Amino acid sequence: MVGLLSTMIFLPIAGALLVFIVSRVNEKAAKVLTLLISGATLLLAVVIFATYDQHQTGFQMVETYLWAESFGLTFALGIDGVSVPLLIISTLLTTLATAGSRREITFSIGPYHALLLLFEGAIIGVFTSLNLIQFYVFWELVLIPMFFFIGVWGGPKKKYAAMKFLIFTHVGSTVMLLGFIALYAFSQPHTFDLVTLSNLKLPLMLQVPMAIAVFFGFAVKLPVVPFHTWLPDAHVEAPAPISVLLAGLLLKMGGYGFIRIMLGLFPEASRFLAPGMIGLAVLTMFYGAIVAMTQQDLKRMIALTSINHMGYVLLGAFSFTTIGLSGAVFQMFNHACAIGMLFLMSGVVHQQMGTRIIRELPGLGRAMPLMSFLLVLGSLGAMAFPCFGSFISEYMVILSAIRVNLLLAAVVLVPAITAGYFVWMLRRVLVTSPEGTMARNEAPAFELLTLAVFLVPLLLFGVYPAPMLSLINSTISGLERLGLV
Amino acid sequence: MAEQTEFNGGFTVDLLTALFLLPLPLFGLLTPAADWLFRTVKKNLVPYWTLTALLVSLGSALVMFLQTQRPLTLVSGVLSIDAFSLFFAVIFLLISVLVNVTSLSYMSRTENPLAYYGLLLFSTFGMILVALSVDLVVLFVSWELMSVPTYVLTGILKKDPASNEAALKYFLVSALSSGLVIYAISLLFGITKSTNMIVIGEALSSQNLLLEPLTVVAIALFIAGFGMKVAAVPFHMWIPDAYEGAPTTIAALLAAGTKSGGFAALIRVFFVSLAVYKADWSVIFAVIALLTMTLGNVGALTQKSFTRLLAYSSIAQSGYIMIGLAAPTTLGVGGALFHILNHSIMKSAAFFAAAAVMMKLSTTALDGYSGLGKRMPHTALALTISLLALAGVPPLNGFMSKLVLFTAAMESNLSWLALAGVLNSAFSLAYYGWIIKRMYLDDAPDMTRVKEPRLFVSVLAFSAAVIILTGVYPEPVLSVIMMIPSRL
Repeated sequence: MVGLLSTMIFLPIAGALLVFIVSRVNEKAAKVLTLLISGATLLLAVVIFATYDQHQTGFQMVETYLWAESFGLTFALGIDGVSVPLLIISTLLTTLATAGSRREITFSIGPYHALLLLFEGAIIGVFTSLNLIQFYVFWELVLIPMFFFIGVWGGPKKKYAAMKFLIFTHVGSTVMLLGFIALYAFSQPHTFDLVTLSNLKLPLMLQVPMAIAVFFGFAVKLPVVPFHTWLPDAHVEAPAPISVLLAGLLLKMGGYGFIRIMLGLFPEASRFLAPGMIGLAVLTMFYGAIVAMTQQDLKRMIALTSINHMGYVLLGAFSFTTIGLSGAVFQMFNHACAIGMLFLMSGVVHQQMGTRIIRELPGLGRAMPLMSFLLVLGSLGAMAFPCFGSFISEYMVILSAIRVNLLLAAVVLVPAITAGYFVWMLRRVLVTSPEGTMARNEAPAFELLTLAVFLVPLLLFGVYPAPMLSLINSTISGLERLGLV
Repeated sequence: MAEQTEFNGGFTVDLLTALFLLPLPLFGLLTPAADWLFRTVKKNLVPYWTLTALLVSLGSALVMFLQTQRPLTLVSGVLSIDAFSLFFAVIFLLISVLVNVTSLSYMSRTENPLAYYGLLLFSTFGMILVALSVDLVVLFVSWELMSVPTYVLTGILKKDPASNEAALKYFLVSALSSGLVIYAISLLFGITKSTNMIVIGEALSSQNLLLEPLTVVAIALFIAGFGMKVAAVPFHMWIPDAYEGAPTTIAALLAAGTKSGGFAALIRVFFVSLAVYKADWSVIFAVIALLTMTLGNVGALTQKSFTRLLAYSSIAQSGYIMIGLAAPTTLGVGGALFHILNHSIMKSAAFFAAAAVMMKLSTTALDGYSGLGKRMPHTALALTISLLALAGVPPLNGFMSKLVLFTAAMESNLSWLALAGVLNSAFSLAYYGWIIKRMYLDDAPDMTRVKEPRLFVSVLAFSAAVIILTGVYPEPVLSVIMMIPSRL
């Protein structure tokens, strides 16, 4: 009897092999099969969302299997209010990225789609693992498809971007592993089990070095300035659907790690390090926003916006308030939808107009009216306009920051700057008259539909956030050890 | 089912033991006769002759190893057929089988198959005896039996100057190290009046735990002598030249076979005879492990030849294994044994891939590996898997054994060593990843598809499967290995 969560992990992984074999016979069938499998996992994620019991704190749907008992390793899976939103975006974004790859990927279709499914299985594994080594295995497993995505199907500087991505994230991950091993060595009895370890009360002197070790792994992924330098290259060189996965999912791994592992396993050390973390978060937010403003390339601008948005997650998590932590999780959900849409759009625009440089795109409104409508909506979502979920999550984080220290109210400038450069981009692209006439060159309906789907959760939970927020809150309010205000 | 036969020597032999120990020397000695017989039927059946011997021996060793209830067999008080020795015997025989099979293709045009395959058998037999020995003199004789054929095998390509130079360097350094080993043995004999490892161990522990000056010298000499074979810094200098110059299948034998043999001797001697001084020599091994890991990884970074890169990588991997000696707990030794097994498979797979490329593209330079993903896809895939495993990327077997080793280091208060190990592992992905990048992301001037030798593809597929399976589900192998340290 295989549990729901293991199905969500191993169905895509097994599906990857199947898709590869099918692709040798018929490429179109492989694409459809990939879409079906990721669609199936999306359905399962929605089922999990619907059947989640909000009266229970702690992990639900827990499954344990024997793995390597001689070394004290069990294969354990489980979900709670923090991981359910991430499961939804993992499955949603993979499905939409598969759909968005229709015109973007023109060679080696079989390996590409197989790697897509492998990626999906691995990332679901990250978000559901209840064992540190298992978590690490899936964490590293995510790197392998991503390396090939960037390096094989990427843009002009793809090899450089792929190697940089690999080295950066791998070094961060191995330092994180060391933190895990140290935790194992100092736990009595020795264990890698997340639930057991979260009840362990180690002295602060031991907690802090371990917390700093795992910090590196997550800081590279989130990313936290100054460990972010791999991001612009990786996001820009990756094909657009892969940028969706990179920004939408990979970065959330960092956020999830901060919440689940750093806050969950080292609460006292996290409180001790909180001032520094908040400082880094503010730095990340401002840095991302200011540098994004100066970009000429649409895709690069969107990539740097990601850095800005993920800073909110760090800020909310380390402000040690209920509203902040819930806001951080909700922000991850919203950002994934918004940025996913923007990246896919940049890909479609590039395909239709032949360029991503903003100054070469005026007249987009006339050439692609429907797409421009979606561009406006997507930009509103990214700049946290009310009615969009991102408004609520960013508002929650800023509120919690103010609760920590009134001076942090200055971070309100960040959404303002974000709004600034998005509106500026829209003005240059949509309002400015082009030279000469622009022929109508609308994107295909399939692509437009794919983009529109991103807006559904963003608007739905922007107008009526209660279902998602209460789910997140049901877990966060149960985290007594954190001592949330 | 076991047939007991009394011999005048005073030991009993059952059928399984006979099938384990006898085929190799018997078939080896009879190889010339067999060859003369075969020539009337078909030329060059010698490889199959030796392969039969190896497979029979491997089969019996496996069966014996998995019989966990099997009582300890002591042969004349000098050989011990226990879990430890059978574990190593299985590794040696498996590697030799793979070397034999790939040599069918790789060395098909060798001038002297008799010498090649016959010496392979003798070297393997020597390795097995090394693992079996509980007497220092027998250990030394087995050590020589293991090493001498490999000198010749390294230099078997008579017309290749690199091969000759490699063999000579290897021989000279090895001879010196053998001298150091026998000196150490004689010192221990002088102190304890015995050459039996167990008796020595007891004698030393009863000497009020005072470290006699001569024992210190003996320990140092053992580390130097055995260390040469296992690529411990600073006794590693011969390895890059030897692995690069030898025929690539023999490089696999050296990296996976004789190195594991060296470790078998090292572990047996240090844990049985010198156990009482654990606190002292474990510190030395910690330092050597650190130096070896670091030098190996840093050295690999600048190599332009793939086989030379693999040689430095081997040095680094020995460093990881020695962490298990620096943290000499059950977990540490278990981790070391696990990594010895994994390393043998990973490294030999990498060398076999290099041999396939050498055969078809006539190059071992890294530049020749560009575009291999398209030209020789199966070889490239298997090589990618073995390189990722060597780097310690989950969910492959290399990650699992490194995890056990680093955890053992942490538990023995050697967190600095664990940190060094982790950083070295991360660092090594740079050069392994660079090769993978070349294979899949770079293009060669000539991108035509090359026909991959079928024998190699099967061997590589087998190795890749083992690497993945042991990594994803290590429990069967791990549970068996973890029982060995207590039985040492």
